Amino acid sequence: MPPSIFLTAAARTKLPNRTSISFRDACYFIETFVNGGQRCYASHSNPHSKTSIPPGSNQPPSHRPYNSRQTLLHRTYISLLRSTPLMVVFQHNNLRANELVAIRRDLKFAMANVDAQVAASQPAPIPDEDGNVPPQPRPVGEQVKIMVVNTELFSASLRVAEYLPKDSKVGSSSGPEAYDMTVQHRGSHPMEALLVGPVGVIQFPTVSPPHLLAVLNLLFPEKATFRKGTDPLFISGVSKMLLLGAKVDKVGGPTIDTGALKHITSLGDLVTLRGQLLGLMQSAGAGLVATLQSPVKALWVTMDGRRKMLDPESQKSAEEEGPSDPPAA
Amino acid sequence: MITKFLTNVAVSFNPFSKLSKSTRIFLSLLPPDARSTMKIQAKLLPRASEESPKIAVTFKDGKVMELEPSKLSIKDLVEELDRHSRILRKKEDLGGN
Repeated sequence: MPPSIFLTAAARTKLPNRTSISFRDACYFIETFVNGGQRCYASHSNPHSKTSIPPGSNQPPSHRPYNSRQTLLHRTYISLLRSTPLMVVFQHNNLRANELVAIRRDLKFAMANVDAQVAASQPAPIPDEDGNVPPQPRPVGEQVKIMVVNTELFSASLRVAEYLPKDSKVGSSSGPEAYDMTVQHRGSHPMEALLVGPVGVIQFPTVSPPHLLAVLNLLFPEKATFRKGTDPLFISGVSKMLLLGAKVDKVGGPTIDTGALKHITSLGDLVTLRGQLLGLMQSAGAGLVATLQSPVKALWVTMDGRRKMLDPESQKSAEEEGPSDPPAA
Repeated sequence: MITKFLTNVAVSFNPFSKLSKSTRIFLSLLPPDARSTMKIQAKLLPRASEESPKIAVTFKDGKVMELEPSKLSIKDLVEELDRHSRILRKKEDLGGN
């Protein structure tokens, strides 16, 4: 056996340069030698253990080690799912880094344009007595973001966000209890079918049809026609993106396909929709009142007619008009 | 996957169906500059569609291969396509170009 194998194993275990070694170091050496440098971690850390809380800290418990990227992403995705009312899911096929940069940059410019248009269509804020303009909400376009997601972790977070009962007493949504309570729903959410392969989401802070329309026209054009002077990286990047579907209405909301998504763009904004709904409800209410009123009205007219017929006073007045029999006593 | 000998790729799938998994992974296996060397058409079916996903690939020698990705895993799919690509590659190597 060539001595180099021993030397590499010794280098991997970082043995001290001395002739006698401790028993523990010797065990490590043998383990490294047998496994070829591949330490077997399964025996060292159990991913389902509840002991993954950092010592001496008040961090909530997590299913995976607390300092792992998985825990970080799980928490990020859960907060994304709980707070985003519209999430467009797309597939990106082998996007290069500079193509993604170009797409993000052009999306930012396009969103700034839409923000300016929306701001121009709305009435200007009225300054108060001191001449101070009241603070305006942050423009929607600024918060529209592209995010490439890890599909496995995203579906795990989706499961917790969707199926964890609201009144459940779990320390943390990323914790082992939350995992155990929702693990039976694996693969049952309709959005999980979308989460295969290279997937990204575009998150919107509100359901804003003008912004959505601009994003769909920019990134998923039906007919690829680009303005003169468009970055070639952007063009090649956009040709690799595929619109898959979207999730609306935060937790518990439906997953919709592209046809329904295009329908959303044809709607007005939320204020217009509320106005329409109010108008509809008012007209329906008026109709209902009229319908309910009509039999009562008819009854009243009939009864009143009958009363007039039977009432001696009114009969008298009717007799005075023409000669007839004396009134009954 | 050998993509050098592909000239045309046409796929159609329903993203809400679990059967379309291998089709979507196949799309992601095409290299970043694939659009300059071959024509790629991806058609998305509506959600209610019951149609199974389809892949139609045209090779440089004109052979058209139509596959049923709902019955194949991505490994089988790649194997199926590479089988013909390897023949073409051998021909090219022997041609001495």
